[in-house]
Amino acid sequence: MKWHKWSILLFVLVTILHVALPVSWIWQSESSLQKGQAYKFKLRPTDPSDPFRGKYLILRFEAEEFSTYDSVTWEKALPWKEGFPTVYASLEADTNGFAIVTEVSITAPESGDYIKAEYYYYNRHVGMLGLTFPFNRYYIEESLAKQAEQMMWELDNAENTIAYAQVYVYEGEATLEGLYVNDQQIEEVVKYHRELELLPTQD
Amino acid sequence: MRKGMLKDLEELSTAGILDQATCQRITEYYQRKEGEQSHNWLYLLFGTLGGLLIGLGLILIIAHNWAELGKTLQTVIAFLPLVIGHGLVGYTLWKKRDSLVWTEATGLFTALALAACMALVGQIYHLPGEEDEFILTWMLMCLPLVYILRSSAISLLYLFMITQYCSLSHTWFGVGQTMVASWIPKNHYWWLFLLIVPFYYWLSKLPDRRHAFIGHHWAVAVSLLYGLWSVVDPLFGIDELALTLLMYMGFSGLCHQIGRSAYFEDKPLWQNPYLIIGSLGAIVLMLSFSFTWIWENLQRDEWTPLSPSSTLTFLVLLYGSVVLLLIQKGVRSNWRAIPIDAPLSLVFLLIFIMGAYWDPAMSAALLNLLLLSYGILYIYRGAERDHLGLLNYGLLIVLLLTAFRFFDEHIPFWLRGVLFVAAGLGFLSTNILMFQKRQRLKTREDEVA
Repeated sequence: MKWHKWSILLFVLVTILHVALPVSWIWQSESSLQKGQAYKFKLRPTDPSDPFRGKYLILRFEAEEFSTYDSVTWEKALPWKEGFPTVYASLEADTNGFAIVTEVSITAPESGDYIKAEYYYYNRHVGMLGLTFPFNRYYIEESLAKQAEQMMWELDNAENTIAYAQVYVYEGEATLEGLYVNDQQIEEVVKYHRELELLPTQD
Repeated sequence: MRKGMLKDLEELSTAGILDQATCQRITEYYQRKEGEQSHNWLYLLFGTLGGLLIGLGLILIIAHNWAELGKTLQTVIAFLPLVIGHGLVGYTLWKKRDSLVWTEATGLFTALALAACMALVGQIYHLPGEEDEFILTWMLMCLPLVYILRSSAISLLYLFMITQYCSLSHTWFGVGQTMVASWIPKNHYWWLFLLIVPFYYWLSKLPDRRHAFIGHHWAVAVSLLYGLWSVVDPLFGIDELALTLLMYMGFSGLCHQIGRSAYFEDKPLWQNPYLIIGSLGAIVLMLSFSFTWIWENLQRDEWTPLSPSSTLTFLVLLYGSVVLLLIQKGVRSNWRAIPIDAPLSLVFLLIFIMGAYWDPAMSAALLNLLLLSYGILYIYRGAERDHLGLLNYGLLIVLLLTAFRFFDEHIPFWLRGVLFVAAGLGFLSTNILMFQKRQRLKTREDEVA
């Protein structure tokens, strides 16, 4: 009988935990969306061999490559047995509203908008710091996935086409709100192109 | 009803201790009980399968990405199976806690509903995170349910998923300015495994959970076999590879000891994955090490594998456990009761040390001799006990060894030829001696008759 009561009490605690965890994720994301500053991150063409993994598109951003010749800092910080270290990328918007990384630091800046990123590599010959942003996957409906994937591949050759991810940044946390092509949501663009038979239908 | 019991009843009836009618009533009673038990198992199986299929079906449906529904409705739907699952588990704990069907089915359903909820919220908000992180979070959240509901189904799911986690999680490391990806698993596996050990132990105390316990033997053995890889340090080189193989040999030795313990003595082989993994693992590793070139690469003038590393710690733990179990067996029963193949891993360790520090060629030769000896031992045992499986196992070892050596270019032709002829003569001589012995025994039996 004693274990009976304890098990019910424990179960109640576990239930709270089970619900609290996803709720905390929602809370954090919604906080960014409601209170955060919107930034547009330009997409760069993805590797055709790995743009779509199952249920989501893998996103790569122009801003993930940051120019710096500070090899002293970045070569010291090279990952070794630790995995990719977390760094902080300070953000500003250019005249067209697209996000640019103004500085990358090992500690969180005291003011201004910033996001956490992973330090991926440093190329001292060209002075390039490679980062990985956390909002690098976009879940999309299966029936639109293949066409969206094709669109991502063709970004490099498409003139007057600007694809970007709209991200809300709040206190270092970033929430991906949507993926846009020329200010239209990618789902709408794919459906529109499909209707015009510009894209093959999904098999 | 055990066959033995039927025989006993017949004996008692013949001796006049029990009359025929009583014997009949006893037989019917046990047959009825077995029938009920098998029905209970059917309910349990169907209930668990039903819970599993519903849970999986929900995950598949949810994975379709219901973009049309809007965020709020999607979020509500994400939580719905979880809320239902919690409700069912709550009811089970309140009213049906003694029912295996309820505890297993509702527990498994809730575990899968939790995964569905986490996955869908991640999709709705495009949350980052790799599969290994997802599995880690999911399993840690499910673990309390294993103990609260005492659910074997969730426990088996847990073991399967932490093994999967082991294969997915890895550390990247860099050498100089070059990033080298390495599939070295993270070390969270071990404490994840330790968290389920108390439940495994608890199952051993319950005779009515025998089938679940057998299932756990397999799950634990295979999970450990896979998870052992996760202790390898990221500094991966030839020394670490050698130590890793040595570690697996130690693991095989430990499995062998567990498989030969008193608990497994009267169990059929299919219920003893430890013996299977222990024996097969040792033979496979030894066959791999039977090539001279491996030993030549291992040898160093100043080989210092004693740098602190998790691999070394596990080596000490594994071989130390083998030694302790051997001593325990020798002290408790009889030193002669220890099977001849029990200290195989320790013999291998000695050969390994000799090869690394002294003479690699000698180590390779000794290992080949050891393999041949064990092959012959199993053939002999198989013939003696009329056990075809054991006989074939021994034959397989000898045949594989023969094939490997036949094509081993590191051994000169003449030496290979001499060794093969010597081995062939050995087999033929043994055959003649055994035949003569059998003839003498037969003659003696005929004389006595």
